[in-house]
Amino acid sequence: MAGLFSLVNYNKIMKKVSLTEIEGNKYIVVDNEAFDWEIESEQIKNLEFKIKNDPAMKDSFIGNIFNHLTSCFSEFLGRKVSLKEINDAIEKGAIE
Amino acid sequence: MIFVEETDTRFSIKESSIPNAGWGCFANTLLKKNSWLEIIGVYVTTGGIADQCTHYAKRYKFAGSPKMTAKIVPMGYGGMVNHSDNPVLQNCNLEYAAGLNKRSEHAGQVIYRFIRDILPDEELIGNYGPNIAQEIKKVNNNLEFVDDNKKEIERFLKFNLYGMPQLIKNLSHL
Repeated sequence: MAGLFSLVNYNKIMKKVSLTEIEGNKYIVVDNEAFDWEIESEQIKNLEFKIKNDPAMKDSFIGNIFNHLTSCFSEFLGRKVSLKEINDAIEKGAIE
Repeated sequence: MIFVEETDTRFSIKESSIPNAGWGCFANTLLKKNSWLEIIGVYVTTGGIADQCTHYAKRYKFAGSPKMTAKIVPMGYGGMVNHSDNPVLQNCNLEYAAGLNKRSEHAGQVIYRFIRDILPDEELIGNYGPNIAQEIKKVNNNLEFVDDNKKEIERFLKFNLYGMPQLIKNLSHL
């Protein structure tokens, strides 16, 4: 059984993760492809307006931003990942 | 200028028993099944300038008529009744009650009808309908995400990616 588990682990395809800077913005790069993610300035203005009108919603909007980032990265990678996995991948330089 | 005051002494406002819901409306006295709470406030035409200018109250507005031609911006306890998807927790329902004898001159035609006896100190919990319920669910999911990922959010911000530290800093200072 131990051999089987080793074989499974050996066969995991790891992708290289690095960071790059393009025009002053830092991006995550997976196997030479930059993960291009941003919140449009119009959406930021909208968020600012909403928070000014309803400060109690601030944490919800911040949650929404990170939720969106995590979903988009999952889509980019082709599988569901958590924010912790993204952080680990950046630190380790690799992701499954 | 209209001077509006809530005068129903059967209720008071306290911290809600529902997590992240803020304040809630509680019974001061035994409220019998089928009795009701009048929603007092002002009517605005759906989509009109006054509706747009009261955007700050968006999450609290009620449909003021069956055809949704008007909305109610609540000014009294009706605006403090919280929502639950759980039918076991619900003790009142929104109802369009045209022709009801009004207790307050500021009441419209929408009420919260008590669907069972509500005990003193019990919180009034209703159901806002599927659209608002969905919005509340989304807000709760986002709040839950922040609660579950506080450490990871801080960790991610340290990488200084996508201009996020500055964005979050700006939003936090609003």
